[in-house]
Amino acid sequence: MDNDSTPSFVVQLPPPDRFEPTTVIAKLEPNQRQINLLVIVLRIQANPQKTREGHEIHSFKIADRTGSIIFNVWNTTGQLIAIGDILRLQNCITQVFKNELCVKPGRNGIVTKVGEFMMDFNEEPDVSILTASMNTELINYKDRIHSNKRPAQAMS
Amino acid sequence: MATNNIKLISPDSKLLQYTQIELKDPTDAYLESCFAAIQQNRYTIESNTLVQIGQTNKKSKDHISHALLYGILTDINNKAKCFQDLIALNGTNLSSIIGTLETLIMKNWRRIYDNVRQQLIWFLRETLAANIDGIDRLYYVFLRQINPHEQCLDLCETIIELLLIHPLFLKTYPEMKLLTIYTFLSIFPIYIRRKSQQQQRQIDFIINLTRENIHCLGRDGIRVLIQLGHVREIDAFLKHLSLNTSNDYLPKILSLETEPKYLALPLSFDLERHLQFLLDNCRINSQEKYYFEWFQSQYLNFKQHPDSIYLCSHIIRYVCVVCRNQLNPQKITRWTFISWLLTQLYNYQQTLHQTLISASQTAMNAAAFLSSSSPQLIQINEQIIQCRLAIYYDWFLFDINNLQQMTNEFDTQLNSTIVGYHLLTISYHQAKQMLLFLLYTSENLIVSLKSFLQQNIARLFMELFQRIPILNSQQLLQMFTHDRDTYQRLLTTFFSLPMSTTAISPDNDDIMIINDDISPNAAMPATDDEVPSDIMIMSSNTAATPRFSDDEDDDDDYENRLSSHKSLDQDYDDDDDVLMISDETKTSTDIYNTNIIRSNFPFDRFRSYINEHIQQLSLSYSASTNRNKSSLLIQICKQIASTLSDKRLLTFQTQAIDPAGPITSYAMIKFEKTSEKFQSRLLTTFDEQTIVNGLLCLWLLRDSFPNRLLPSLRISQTNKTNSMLENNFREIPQQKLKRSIKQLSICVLFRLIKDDIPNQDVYIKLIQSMYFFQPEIAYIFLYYLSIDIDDVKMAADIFEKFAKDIIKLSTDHRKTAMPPAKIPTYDQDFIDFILEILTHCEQDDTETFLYLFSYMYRLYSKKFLNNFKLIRLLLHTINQFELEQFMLDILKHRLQLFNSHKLYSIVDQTLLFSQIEQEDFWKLLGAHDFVQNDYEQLFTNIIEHLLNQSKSVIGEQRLAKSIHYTTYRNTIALANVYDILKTKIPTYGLICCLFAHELTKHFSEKLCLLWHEKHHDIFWRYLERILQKWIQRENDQTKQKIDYKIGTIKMANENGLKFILQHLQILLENNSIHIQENKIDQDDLHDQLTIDENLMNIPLSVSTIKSLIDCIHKNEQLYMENKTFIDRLENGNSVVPPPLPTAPAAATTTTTTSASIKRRKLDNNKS
Repeated sequence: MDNDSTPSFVVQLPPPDRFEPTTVIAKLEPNQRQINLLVIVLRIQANPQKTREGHEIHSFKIADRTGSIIFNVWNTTGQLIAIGDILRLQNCITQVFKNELCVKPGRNGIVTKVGEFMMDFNEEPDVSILTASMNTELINYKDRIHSNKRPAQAMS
Repeated sequence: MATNNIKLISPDSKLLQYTQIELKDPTDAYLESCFAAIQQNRYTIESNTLVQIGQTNKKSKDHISHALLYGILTDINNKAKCFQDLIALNGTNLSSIIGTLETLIMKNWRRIYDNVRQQLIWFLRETLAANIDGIDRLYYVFLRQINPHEQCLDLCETIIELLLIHPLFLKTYPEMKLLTIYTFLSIFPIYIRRKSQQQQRQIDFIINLTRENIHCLGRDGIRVLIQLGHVREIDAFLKHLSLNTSNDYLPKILSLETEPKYLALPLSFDLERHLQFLLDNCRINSQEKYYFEWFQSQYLNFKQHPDSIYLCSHIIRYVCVVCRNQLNPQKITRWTFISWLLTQLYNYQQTLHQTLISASQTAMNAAAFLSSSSPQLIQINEQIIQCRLAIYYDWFLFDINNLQQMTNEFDTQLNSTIVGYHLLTISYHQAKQMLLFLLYTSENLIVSLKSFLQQNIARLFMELFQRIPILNSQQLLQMFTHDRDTYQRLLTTFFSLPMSTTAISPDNDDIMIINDDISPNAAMPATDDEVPSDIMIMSSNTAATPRFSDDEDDDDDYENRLSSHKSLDQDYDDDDDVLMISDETKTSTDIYNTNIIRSNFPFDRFRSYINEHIQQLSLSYSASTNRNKSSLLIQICKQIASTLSDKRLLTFQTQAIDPAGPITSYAMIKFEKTSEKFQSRLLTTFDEQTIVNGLLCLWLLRDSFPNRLLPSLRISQTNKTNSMLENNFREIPQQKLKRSIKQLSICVLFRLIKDDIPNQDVYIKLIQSMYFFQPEIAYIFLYYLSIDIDDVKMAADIFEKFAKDIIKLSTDHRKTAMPPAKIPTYDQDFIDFILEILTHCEQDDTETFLYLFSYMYRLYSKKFLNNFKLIRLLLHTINQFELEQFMLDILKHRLQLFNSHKLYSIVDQTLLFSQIEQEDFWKLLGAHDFVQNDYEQLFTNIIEHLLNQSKSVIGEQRLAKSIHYTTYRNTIALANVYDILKTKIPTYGLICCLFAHELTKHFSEKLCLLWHEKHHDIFWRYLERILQKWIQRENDQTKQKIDYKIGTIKMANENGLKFILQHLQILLENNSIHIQENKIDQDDLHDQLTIDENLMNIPLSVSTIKSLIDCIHKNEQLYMENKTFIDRLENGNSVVPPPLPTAPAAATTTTTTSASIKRRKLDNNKS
């Protein structure tokens, strides 16, 4: 056993990595929040587009074992992502953009590259393509938001 | 709204360079935290307390060591102190530190800061100097960074410097020495190009190392050396290797397989990992496009990193040898990957070519531009060839001796060669290129080993065709049908048996070329000629051609055999031995060579096997004093049977080998049957052993086949000129027949079936297997059974046993019938089988056929009756004399060909025969008893059938368009029916049948007139009854006319009256005078004649005539057409004798059998 008289050498080891994906791509629906995913970047979906504010939107097709979806990310992050990268997406949200379901980082969203190449994936089903049932749900959702907003405006 | 703009903070690190989205490496983080602990615990790196703590506290020791390591890597000022402390703390055991470094470098080499790399190298140098344990592990990790992908050319130099300073290191670690050599040889093409001539010292150092150790590297060592053939020193070394060293030095190196660890060296850790992952996990059709794209963008981006083309051949080699095939068909195969890789290379080559051409068009001095930029193109052409060589390298250097001894070795070899085989199937273009490459390279790679290389490839092709029959040589050769020269060269070098390799002897001016520029494809630019430095030419001493161990010996052996065979053959000429090879068959050797190779059936193996055993057999038996053929054969056959029954290999006592010649012919084997499908099917029923023995027997018994089976009568009847006609097998005495089978050597085998009951199945199996190669055996067997086995039932059983498996084998693979068609029953198949046998026999020997034909009918008396196919075969063959003999047999009840069941369907089919054959058919039919006795029933059916042309079974489909043809065809048959019926007494049914149909000139008219003349009374009496019935029906308004039948015959409804009138007209008008003469004694008749000469005498009752006339008058049109006749008929005189006692009408109409019985009674009464 160690002698008490000998001075100690305490090491604060780096915290263990406890990342767990909260969901998988196949289960994604419009307007989900705080989702964590582990994905691989299949391809660049479209050329970067500029917003009115001058931001560049990079669009990728990402996939995991359950399916694929579009991932939109801004500026530098987008530039740093390459095809075949394995990414951790933390605190992301889903959104319908140009009639396609896509994932993007939410407030405090984090995109981390943890590896490359070596991950199993399935391109099908493509969750970005909205099904009819999802579309109706979406319309209902929008209606609800509108009806919530109006009374608020009336109050004010 | 959530902002999409993420705050990016890249991980803070002194070791590794991260992008802003990367996760901090755990090793990095750990080392950092260890180092941070020094300050947290209020120590300094300079103090010695750390070592003291480490020495007392084992837990802390590891942390402190890592903290010191971090210090070495990051703190330049204190690195020496840290290193000293580290050594002080751990002594020479730095395994945990080295382990950490290994992981750090393996995972992160690319992002290690330059200064840290420098520190790492410093650490390596220090550890080398300090002779730390396990330093080779660290060294290896560094070595792996030197590859065409990472390049690290500076590291290259550093390491060489290091090795030069510490020469002891490589001596302590000999494995590291080999790894170093291989690494440097694989990086040198890039290194030399980049660093030019300044690095002579390094090059010399490596070449010196290579010289001493190349024999340990194996064949891939030579491959990487060949890549460097343009370097003067290496060129000289290669020359030295092939010329000045001992004869088998180079072949020995080439036969040694290079271990996978060397093959992995040119690939970086990442690349190796990714490659493994890709080949293990990539699903075909869904993932491959992504994985391939990522792989390419990362490692094979030729445009951005032109040097990456040097990677391709190493990747291919690694994939071929190290990776294994996935069993999962969903996963990507290795050859798909390699094919893709080659396509990328071709594409890049094409782009380069295009850009050069377009650039030269715009450039001022096109030629100068082209020449200045062509090295790039040369490079890629070179690399494409290197890639192909990497695929087929094992093919060239496949050492057969190793394979037989070690099965593991064989598996590894096959694993690597299989890729090349499958690549040939992927695309036509590629396969063609590859084949050409194989051909040219085998000729030019190492000239002195040319025949060896070619034999290897030929052997491998054969092996693979057998093991994985997705290809055959024919398919491959088809690509070159337009190019005869290449076709022939391929055929002789790769796709035929190594016939006489002795012909390929080294040339006198034996120039050995080791060339990496043997492109067979025309895509090479014109400037190719400018690379003479790539070609290594050396003159070899002709006396010392490198030879590969036993291989050439085999050929010598072969030659010996060939010559000894000749002498043996001559020996055999003197006596009548069975085992003699006829001269005829010898000449046909060449014809069969390619066919033997074509098959996936291991003929070759059998060939040598048979060869071997035949030799021994012939030796052991020819030496024996007993020269009796049959006893010799009995012994052989018994031996074969005994081996078959306990399934062990044929082993004969081996004597001093004085081999007989190789089998020069398989003439008895029908090669059209050697298609792959046939053979694989064959192997489903028989094991190889049986087939081998079958072939063996066939070879032994090959002289049994061409001869005639039946003994000829000619000898006894020499005086007769037309012996052909007279040669009737029925007259051959039994003794003579028995003697004939005794002369037949194959009957020895058959007799064993009869005598050796316990082993009967084995013999039958053997004959079955022989049948597939020599179908004649079936009828010879049948012939034997007919003579030697008197018990018909026993013979039938034996033959059934023989036929069963054969039929099963051929029917198992029958294409499934289309829905309307019926699947034939076993009996039908059996008949088809017999038919096949008899057809064979018929082609070979007609008389034997006739003999066997009648035997078959005796053997299976019930089964073959009324078989159309067999009858047709007989009718095609038979001549007039033989026909008579057959008729005689039938009349004597020795043979029956037909019975009455559904006979009309056969009649119907015979309608398509030629007239003579039809006549023969009717003659044979007429000879049968049942035709003579129960003719009424039979012929009413047949006549009904023939006269009702529309019902014709065959005619309906094929000949419906031409009714005239049908009529004509039926007329021939009816003429034959007439021939039979003309001798018969008319019956009610037949007459009814005639009157129910339209009058035909050649049949019903003739027959009616004949019967009218010969059997006047019977004929007319039946006719009256028929008419009465008919009129009764006509007058009966209540009954459905369609259902009305007379006898079995349905009388015609609409034209019934017309047909009756036609017949009556013929009968009454033409022969009225004749009838008068017959009936002259009747008074009434006489009176009538005096009144009116034209008055008709009608042998019918008055009432019948009256009602008939009434009927006619009802039909105005008919009356008008035949007015004169009807008028005469109306006025005609009834001359019928008093009506006979007739059976009640109901009885005759109900059932046919009762009607015929009654009619027969009637006839009896009359007579």
